[in-house]
Amino acid sequence: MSGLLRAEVLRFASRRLFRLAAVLAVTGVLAAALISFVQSSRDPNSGLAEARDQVANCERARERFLAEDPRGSAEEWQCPTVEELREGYDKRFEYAETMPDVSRGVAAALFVASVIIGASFVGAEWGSGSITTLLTWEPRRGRILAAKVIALVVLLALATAVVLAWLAVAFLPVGAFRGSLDGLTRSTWWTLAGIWARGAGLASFGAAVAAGIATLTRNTAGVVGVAFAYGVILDPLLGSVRGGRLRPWLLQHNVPRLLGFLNVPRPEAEVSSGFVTQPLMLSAFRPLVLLAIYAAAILAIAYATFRSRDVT
Amino acid sequence: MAVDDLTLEVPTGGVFGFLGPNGSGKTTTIRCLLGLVRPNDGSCTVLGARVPSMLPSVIGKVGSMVETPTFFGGFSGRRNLELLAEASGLPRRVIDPVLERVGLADRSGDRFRTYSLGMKQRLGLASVLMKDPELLILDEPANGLDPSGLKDVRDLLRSLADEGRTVFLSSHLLNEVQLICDSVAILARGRCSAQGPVNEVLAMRGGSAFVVRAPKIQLAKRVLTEAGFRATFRGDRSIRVKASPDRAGRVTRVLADAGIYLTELRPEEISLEAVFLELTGEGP
Repeated sequence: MSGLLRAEVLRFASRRLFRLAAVLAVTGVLAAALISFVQSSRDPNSGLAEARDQVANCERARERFLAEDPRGSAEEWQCPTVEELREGYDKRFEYAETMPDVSRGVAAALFVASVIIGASFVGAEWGSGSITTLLTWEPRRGRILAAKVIALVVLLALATAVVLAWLAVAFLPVGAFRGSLDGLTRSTWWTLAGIWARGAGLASFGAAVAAGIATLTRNTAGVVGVAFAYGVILDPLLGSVRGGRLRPWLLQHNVPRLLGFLNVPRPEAEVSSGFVTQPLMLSAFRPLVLLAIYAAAILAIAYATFRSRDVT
Repeated sequence: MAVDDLTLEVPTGGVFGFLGPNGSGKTTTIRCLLGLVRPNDGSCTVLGARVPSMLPSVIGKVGSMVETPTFFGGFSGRRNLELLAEASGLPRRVIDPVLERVGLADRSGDRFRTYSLGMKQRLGLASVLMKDPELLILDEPANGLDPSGLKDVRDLLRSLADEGRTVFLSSHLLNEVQLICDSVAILARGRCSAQGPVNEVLAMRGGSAFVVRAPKIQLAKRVLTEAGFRATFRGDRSIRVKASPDRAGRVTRVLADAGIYLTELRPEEISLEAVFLELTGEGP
């Protein structure tokens, strides 16, 4: 088993798709940090001019409105103050405040990448027919599937955590020189580390599910089709039936919760009181367990099918 | 049903030819032996181990190649072998000698997808040899090989058999099979038509015969048949006359008495191809 696992790790590391994704992730983060560095400013008054312009534009439009329609009330057209707008135009990069949300967004993108890489890792084996060769070396199909899934889950979790850590490091100079590191405490690092771990967990889930579905469909395209059909059509559809009562069991609810996204509508309160947001950091336990059960169920079906179906 | 009521017993040591026309069930049989497909009924044993339940216990002694060898196209030949060696705990030092032995050492660093069919077959054979197997199960290993490659593979398989290994060789290249096989089985429509040592199977052709060529071939056949010979057309404007070697003179005389003068009279060479065509019903 250990040899098989080593072989799968070697194969994973040798795959061009993974190498390309790794290079894109590293350079993409660097490019984003550079762009952010260029567009940010340390000046606390940055954005003041834009805010003033915005308010002046609003005032001019308001005067035109009142001149054209004398019956109009001045209260109907209220313009914001410069102070109100200033925060939105502030070009300072507040590291401690911004990075958790940036990390969550990148973790979500890495989840999608994990699904594609996981699907391709198993799908390529069927597509090339090399699964036949492998089975003539190791006929125990359970071992083969287990080695592939373990290699995928561990490596993609690690890769996700590393990319998220690199993201945090790459943006440090942006905060230090083009904004501030105010509020950057040990607690901030714990929050970020928590997001890395959650992102790694989510990537593992995506990879395991993709590997399971690829074992069933025996190709990569099938997984992409199933993922699209479920993620874009079925999951939202299920979320809308029975007054959203199924939503706590669906990906649309559990994936954001696992990442601890802010401003996630609380489904049970949504109907009665409109937009209600979740607390700062949601517990990862329930979504993690739920997603792990889903992944285990799909892998169990994949194994049963792989074990009984002929390889022709 | 691809294979029906097939009973095969492959003797230990030597080269066993497994012959049959396309679609006769050769590859399905091999897939059954390797646990890739499950028979609806019946059983397979490989090196005494029941397939598929006990196959893992002997798989390390079985080198196999099913149809065209399939490896990862984006990896080099060497990388593909390294992955297989890693998967089964073989040391990497086994790779170079087998690449040398199949004549692929120079191109082992190229991507598999750039290989010709012959090179793919060679890499497949290299992967088989890495295990130092007792039993080799090879499905059309000579596909795509040029004449020199064919000879290399023939020599390789013969030398492996001479080392005491068992080579189970599925092929449609009957001349090649006849040159290297010790025993054969002929499969037709999923059933075994003949099985045994090559000379015994050749004898199934039904005794000796002459090839007769003469002008007025239709008349010649009629005259010979009326004289009590079993004469059949061969399809190349000649007649096959079943008769023992000492009756050559009688054949000549019967035809001469009818005013037909031979242009050729020779003993028929019995080939595996002829037996194969007769048994599989694909002959003229």
